[in-house]
Amino acid sequence: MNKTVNINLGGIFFHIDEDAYIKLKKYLDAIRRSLSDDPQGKDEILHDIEARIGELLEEQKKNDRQVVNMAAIERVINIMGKPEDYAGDEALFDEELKSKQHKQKTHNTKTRKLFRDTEDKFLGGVSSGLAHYFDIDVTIIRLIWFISIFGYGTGALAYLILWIILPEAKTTAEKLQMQGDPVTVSNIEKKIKEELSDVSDRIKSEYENLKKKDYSNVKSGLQEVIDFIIKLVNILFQFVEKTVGALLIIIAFITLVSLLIGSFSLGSLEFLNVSAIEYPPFFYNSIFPMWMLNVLLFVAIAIPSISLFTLGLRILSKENKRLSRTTKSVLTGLWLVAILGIAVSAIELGLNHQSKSNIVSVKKTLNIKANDTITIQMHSKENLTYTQKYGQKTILENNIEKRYNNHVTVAVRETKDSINSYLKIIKRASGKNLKNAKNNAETISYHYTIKDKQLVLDNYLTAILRKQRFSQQVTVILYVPQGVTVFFDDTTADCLDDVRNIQQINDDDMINHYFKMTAQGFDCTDCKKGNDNQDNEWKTSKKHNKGSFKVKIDHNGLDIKVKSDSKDSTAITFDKNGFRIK
Amino acid sequence: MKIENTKAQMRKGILEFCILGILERKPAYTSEILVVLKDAELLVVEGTIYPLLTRLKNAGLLSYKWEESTSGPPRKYYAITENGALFLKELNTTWHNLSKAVNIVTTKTNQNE
Repeated sequence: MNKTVNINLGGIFFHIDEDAYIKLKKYLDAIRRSLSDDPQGKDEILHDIEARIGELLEEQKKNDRQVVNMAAIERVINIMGKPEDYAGDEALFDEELKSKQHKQKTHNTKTRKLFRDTEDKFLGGVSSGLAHYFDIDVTIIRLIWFISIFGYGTGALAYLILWIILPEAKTTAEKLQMQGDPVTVSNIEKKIKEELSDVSDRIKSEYENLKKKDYSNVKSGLQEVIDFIIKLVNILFQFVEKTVGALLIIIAFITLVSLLIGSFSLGSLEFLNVSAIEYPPFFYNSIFPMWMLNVLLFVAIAIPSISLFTLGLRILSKENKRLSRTTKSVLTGLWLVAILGIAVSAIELGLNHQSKSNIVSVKKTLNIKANDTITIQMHSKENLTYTQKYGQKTILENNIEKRYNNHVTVAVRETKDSINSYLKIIKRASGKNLKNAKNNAETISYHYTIKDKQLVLDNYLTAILRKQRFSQQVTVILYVPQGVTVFFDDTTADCLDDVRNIQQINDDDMINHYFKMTAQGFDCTDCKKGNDNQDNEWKTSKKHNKGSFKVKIDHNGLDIKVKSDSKDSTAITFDKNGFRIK
Repeated sequence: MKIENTKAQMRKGILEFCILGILERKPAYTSEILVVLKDAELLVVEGTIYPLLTRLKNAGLLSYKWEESTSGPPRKYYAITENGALFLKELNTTWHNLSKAVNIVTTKTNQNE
């Protein structure tokens, strides 16, 4: 049983066996090649030859349902002559053509092809095949493979893919093709130029044909002009097509090269522990290890580029072979796997990103009584030397790498329940879920000391290092009873946050001042009335007989307080937190 | 020097001459030309004629037009042009001179032997 193909030869329709069709096609291609030094006449000659072959086949056919078989094609080829006969004719007429043709011929038959050379193999013969292809020493290629293992194994994967998709050079012809004309940039360029000049030659020949036409018959003349325009449009279309093909090749090539360089250098930099580059969080927060994401991304981008490249080649020249079906399905499969992997990672990251935050708080009673004065100081880490890992600051603590940050805030409040002072340390972290977040918060370590009424708080925290970020932070709240005075050392400047006080002094301006906890709130005992050391402040206050009216405008916003003697008071505040009426 | 090459070269020039000669009598399409040439055993394989016809046409010695045929797609009918006719006339003279010359030369050498 044989598969058949439908073809049109010079306007006659034929059913033809597939093998016979291939034979015929090869024959015509061979003729085309041997005529290639005559671009103008080539198409016309081929057309005539096709028409004649059609005629010959038609003569042989006994009825309409008969299929053209191999024997018929062989008979036709016998009648028409070998491809060399066509070329020989040309060459004999013009001796100088001969040398030109010879060059052309070798060029056409000797375009190099990529195979695996299993005669000189270490693993699969990929390296030696590549060495033949690019005409470099095989040792260099093997060395590149070896180095590329450090690029997160990208090289190993690329090797595997090549091993799978590259055919082995089995026949002598294939072995010769493997070592044919080098495929260099200049050769590709030559190919592109050839194609383009072919197009322009055809434009010229069409134009010349038109000029030669006899215009005695106006109607047919008009027809010719229309035909010519249609042909011209066709040819222009082809020109655009070839340009697009060339562009595709260039784009895909650049993508592939930059991809290789990129993934290789990223991998090796990470390997050498260079912290110059920071990966996006996507790489750190994923469930997959980083090298795997690297490989997945590589495959996801490289495979479309490869197909673009082959598409470009095919557009440029129809003679270029398509990728085989197995190659195609292997590539498609790999690509799908990569896309799936990235999707899974992204979805997981999305879920992870919807993180809950949770707190762990510790309460420490302090020996501070009413009328005591306590100083708050912040303590920075001595000899701080940190490194970067996973894009986070890390320090060594007892030879263990730990995450380090300065997300510490301090506030002071009045105790509601006791006459004792106490310190509340709230550790906060995020995580996939509440439990996870709580665990993460528990890994935070934070220290303080108290000595002679001096409270020394660390201005940093350390926590267990993970590749994910958990936005760890610490809030320290000092609860004091009424009558206690607190002095803020100037080291506290960056840490104070939302320390409410009667004077509504901004956190940044509270340092180097004494504040006393009173029934009304936190009261500054040494701040000057009116324009203090605060900039950009405008205050006005009027004492009425029966109460007071205060307007304060500063960088905190607008604050209006109205107080009547009946102890009813209204306060309107307009600041960064919004508009409030108390 | 191969005998095939020399033979082919001899035949090639004559082939052009003969094609023009055939077409001088009446316009014909390729297959008709082929039949005549093959009967005269001037042509071994058909393929040779196509580049030849195209070149003659491109040189302005032949012209062609499409004509409908009863048994298939339209056919290309070749006809000789005015230039072609002049060309043929010249070739005719050359041919006669040549054959005379060849005759004289070859017969003389034969007699010498």
